[in-house]
Amino acid sequence: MKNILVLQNARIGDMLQATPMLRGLKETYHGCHVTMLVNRLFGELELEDGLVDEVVQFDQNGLYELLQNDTMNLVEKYDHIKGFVAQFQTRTYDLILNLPSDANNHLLSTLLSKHGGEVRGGVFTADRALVLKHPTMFLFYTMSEIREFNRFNLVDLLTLCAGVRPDERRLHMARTAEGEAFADRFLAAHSVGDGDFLVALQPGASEERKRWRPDRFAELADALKERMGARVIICGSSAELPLGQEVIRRAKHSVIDAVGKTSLSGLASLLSRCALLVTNDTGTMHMATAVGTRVIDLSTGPVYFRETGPYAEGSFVVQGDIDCFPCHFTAVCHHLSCRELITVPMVARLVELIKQGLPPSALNPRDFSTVRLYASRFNDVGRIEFLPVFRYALSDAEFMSFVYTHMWEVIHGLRRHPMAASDLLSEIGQYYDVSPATRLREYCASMLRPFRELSACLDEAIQRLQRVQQLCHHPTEAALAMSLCSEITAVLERVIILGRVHSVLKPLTIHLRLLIDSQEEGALHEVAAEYESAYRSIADQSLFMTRSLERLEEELAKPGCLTAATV
Amino acid sequence: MTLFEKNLEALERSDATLAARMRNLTLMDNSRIIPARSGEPTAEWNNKLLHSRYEPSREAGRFIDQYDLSKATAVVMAGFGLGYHVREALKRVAVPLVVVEAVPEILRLAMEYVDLTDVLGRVRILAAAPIAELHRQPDLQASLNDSPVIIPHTASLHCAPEYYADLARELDRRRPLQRPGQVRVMVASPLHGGSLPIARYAAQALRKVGCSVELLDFSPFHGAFQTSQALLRESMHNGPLTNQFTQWLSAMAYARAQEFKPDLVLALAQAPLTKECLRKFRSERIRTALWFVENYKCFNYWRDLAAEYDYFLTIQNSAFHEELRRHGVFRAYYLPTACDPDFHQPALLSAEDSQRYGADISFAGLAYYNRKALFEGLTDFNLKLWGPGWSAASGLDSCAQNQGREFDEAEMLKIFSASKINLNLHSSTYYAGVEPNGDFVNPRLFELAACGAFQLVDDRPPLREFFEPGEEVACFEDLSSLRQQIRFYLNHPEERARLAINAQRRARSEHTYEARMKQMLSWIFSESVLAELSQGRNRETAAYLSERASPDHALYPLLSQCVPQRRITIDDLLSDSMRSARHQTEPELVLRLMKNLLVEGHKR
Repeated sequence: MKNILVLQNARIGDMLQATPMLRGLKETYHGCHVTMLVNRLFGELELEDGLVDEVVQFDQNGLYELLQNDTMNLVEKYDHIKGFVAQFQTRTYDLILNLPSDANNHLLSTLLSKHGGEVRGGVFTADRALVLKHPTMFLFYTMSEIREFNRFNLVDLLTLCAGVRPDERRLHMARTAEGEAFADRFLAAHSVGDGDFLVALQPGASEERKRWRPDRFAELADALKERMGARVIICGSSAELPLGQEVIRRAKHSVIDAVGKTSLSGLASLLSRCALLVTNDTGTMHMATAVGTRVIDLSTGPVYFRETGPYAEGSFVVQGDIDCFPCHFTAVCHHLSCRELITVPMVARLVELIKQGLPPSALNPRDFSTVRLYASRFNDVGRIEFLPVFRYALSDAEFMSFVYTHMWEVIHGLRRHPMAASDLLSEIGQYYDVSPATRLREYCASMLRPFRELSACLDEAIQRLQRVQQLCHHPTEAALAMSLCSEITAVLERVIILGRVHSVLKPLTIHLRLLIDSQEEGALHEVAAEYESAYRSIADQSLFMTRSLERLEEELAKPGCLTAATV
Repeated sequence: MTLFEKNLEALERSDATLAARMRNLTLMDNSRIIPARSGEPTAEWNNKLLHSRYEPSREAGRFIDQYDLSKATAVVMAGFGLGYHVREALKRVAVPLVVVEAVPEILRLAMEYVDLTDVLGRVRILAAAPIAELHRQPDLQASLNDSPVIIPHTASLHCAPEYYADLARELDRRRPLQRPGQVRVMVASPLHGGSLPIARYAAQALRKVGCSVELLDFSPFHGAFQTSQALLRESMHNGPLTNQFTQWLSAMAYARAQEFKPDLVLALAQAPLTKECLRKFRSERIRTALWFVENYKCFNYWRDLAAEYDYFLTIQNSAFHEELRRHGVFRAYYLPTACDPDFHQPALLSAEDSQRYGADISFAGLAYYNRKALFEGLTDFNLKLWGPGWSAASGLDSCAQNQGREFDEAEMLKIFSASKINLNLHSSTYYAGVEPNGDFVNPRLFELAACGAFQLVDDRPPLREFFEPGEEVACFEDLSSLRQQIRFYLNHPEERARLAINAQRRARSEHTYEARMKQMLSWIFSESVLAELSQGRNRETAAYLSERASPDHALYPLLSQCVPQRRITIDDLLSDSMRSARHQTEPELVLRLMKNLLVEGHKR
């Protein structure tokens, strides 16, 4: 791999979460040249030296304005956009990593892949269908559909997509001299001394559902001042000025106003001086994580901490304990109850714990009765996990998330051998209340039937596809081959329906649908071979899940199983 | 005699003043005459072509043929260029023709190189005339009165874009509103709810502005709708029948439009117009606008309908407009609600009325979650709550009036006038009290003000666009400040009166439905002309674009297949490309990228 292009024109947080992958690329492919497309809005973000060789800014707003502008005609506008694309075409890429699910990126990756090279992610085929390339990308692209079963964090998924394992498990952001000088001046101007307990608050987020209420941030600032003598900094971009001002106006005690006053590097340096950051899920949260500052992440609305929570050990996540959490990205919520469940005393207590340097076991569950509280840590294969601070009752979906994620760890090469059922149960039982064992055993047994049914459907399709391939060698049998194809379509429909009836099968059935949709046009025997490979891959996963559940059921049947596991 | 002198002689006969100006004008070096392939002269002005390089006269003829001049009673052209298109227009009409030219030097250039003796005596040319004074020009005035066909010469527009944009606004301002009876507006109301009276106020205001108005008042059908809902209990029956009922009302609106022939259909939020009906209006070139006088965060049905309307008027600003752009709506305008001074007036109260409606504090409206939560803290005052929901609200039932029944608009005015303090708390379904950062104001704000009633309103950022807190209205942020304000204003009747009078003056002068409707008409009817002038009706034709793309340009094969007069958009080229090529091509991908960038709009 000599030339690699990374398309990542999303937001600051997404850029930072891609940095371990960039580090992995540099470690794995020595001397490779990495070009990265970034969103111009966040172009000033300084990544650590050596991560990227060339940065191209994607000025989406500028291009939009140009297209809206009436002084240019359509031909001139076309030439301008073509010119933007052409700047990438001076280089031939061996690998194009198309990261966010974004139509602009899919179009760019298609335009650039015409010059050769492997694309991972979305690309349009010659017959205009959007297809996905590379096995891990399927997990990445279905993450939002199967979130209740997924425990993979975006950062870990990105490294898997790139096929790299970076040495260091952290986000990378440069601390610049200008940023440090700014932080020095800013803190001196507000008379902040070395001994001050400095806490940053980030009340903004990209949409209301993702924001804890500003009056609660204000109350929190007051509580931190009154109970711990903390100096509180309110952070935010200039677009968040009204929100920041509201927090400042509502707070009874004076706070340090940094809203709209910091560059990205200035903010990074300022965050590095804080003991911790209390925040919604934002770019600021990832910046704090990157500069080594601990985080209390208030996870609300459609934000799911397992996907985008702070990528470092020792951070906390607070989530309202409500069934609809996390809501779907397109859901319209009129009550925003999940954020109401997170109260000021809870967050203040967490800050206090961090200040006192006490372990989470010092917390009283009664103080956190309306929320779920998680702490971050890396698991044995180096994947970030958010584990409950208190032993909550294990839900069926959470149990299946362990089983599924374990399977993905194995098939994507993070784990060489599957864990023994007893070890997996022990891992789960360490953090969750899984008693009584009989209930969990019955659940495992009841889940076996849908997986077996799915496996039978998949085997049926595989047999027919093999027959189609044989018939393709006999031109006289074309009609029979075609009728078999329609039978295979009927099997696929049955599989999709199975996924709808048994939501536990969704990760496999959605994956299969995507695989089938991602097949390109070709001769019948070629298409049949590709389809067989797709069905076989899902059949293998279904078999893996069936075996896992069988072993778990057996293990749970052993006397004293959970008692031993949870002690 | 030179060509210029011959032309000058012709001009002197019709406009000696302009001829004198032309004689004294010198050309700068920003122009260049080039021979076209036909042998006729063409010209560049600041490196931009004024006419075709190939056959200027023939192309000018094709350009003029895009306009239906058969029924024209007058023609106004923007831009003289070298006069080719003016001559072609004169060949087709015998009606008064006025040409507005922003750059006199271009006229001088034309007179030097083109024989215009057959043109100059037959048209009235206004060269660099100040826009504000244009309406005083008798020839233009007469033409405007005749509803002229307006023909913008696109290439000329580039030479002075700001001047021509101002011209467009001026022409438009003069055109529909000077003879507003020509603008026919059909207002479609909902069956029920808060936007129903607004439909009536809007219709009345449009009449006052001078439009011909037809109010489609659907409220009589509300009873039928309720009856059908009550008769049928199961959603499997109710859903399809409601759908058919809406379709029937929509068909009625369409049929009425066939009779009334509106230029604009203005629908209020929840008006029963279906997508199919709106598409029919569009196909018949009847403009449609939706005034969405609701909180877009609470009602999301706009998502399905928004793109079907030509214009989308909102009471919320930027964030909603961003959302609308994501749903393919590009013509969204911020139009807050208002008051109708003819209706919203202080009520005359009988002794009985004063007894019944009088109170220290009143609130008239629905018992939303936040209102119940906040008003619970006011029960130690003399508080009256009017409207549905209050009698069932625990802790507030003793304040509920008239067994929690709905009140009509006449009663509402009595409540406003009889109360010392009228509360106005914007509704919220999840904030227990004042919603911070509320991004719109309700009609009650303007109605109370116009009635000369004193109001205590929850503070929110847009409020200051309309009234000055402390001078026109009193504001509160939470229960504690509300209680404090109530105590103060109950003890200071003179302050209540001062604020109420100030607010009334402001509402009646600035925040009327008449003002809002004028604003809306100027957007809707100026935009169409503006679009013609600033974008150029002919500018994006296949012929024009083919000329700009060399034969080896990637778009040339697509453009050359199009009918020359066809106006081309990105969508047209994309669908042509997909039809003609089995496999996607690189130009198609670039066009898709362009389209996608437009659909996504601004990103923050």
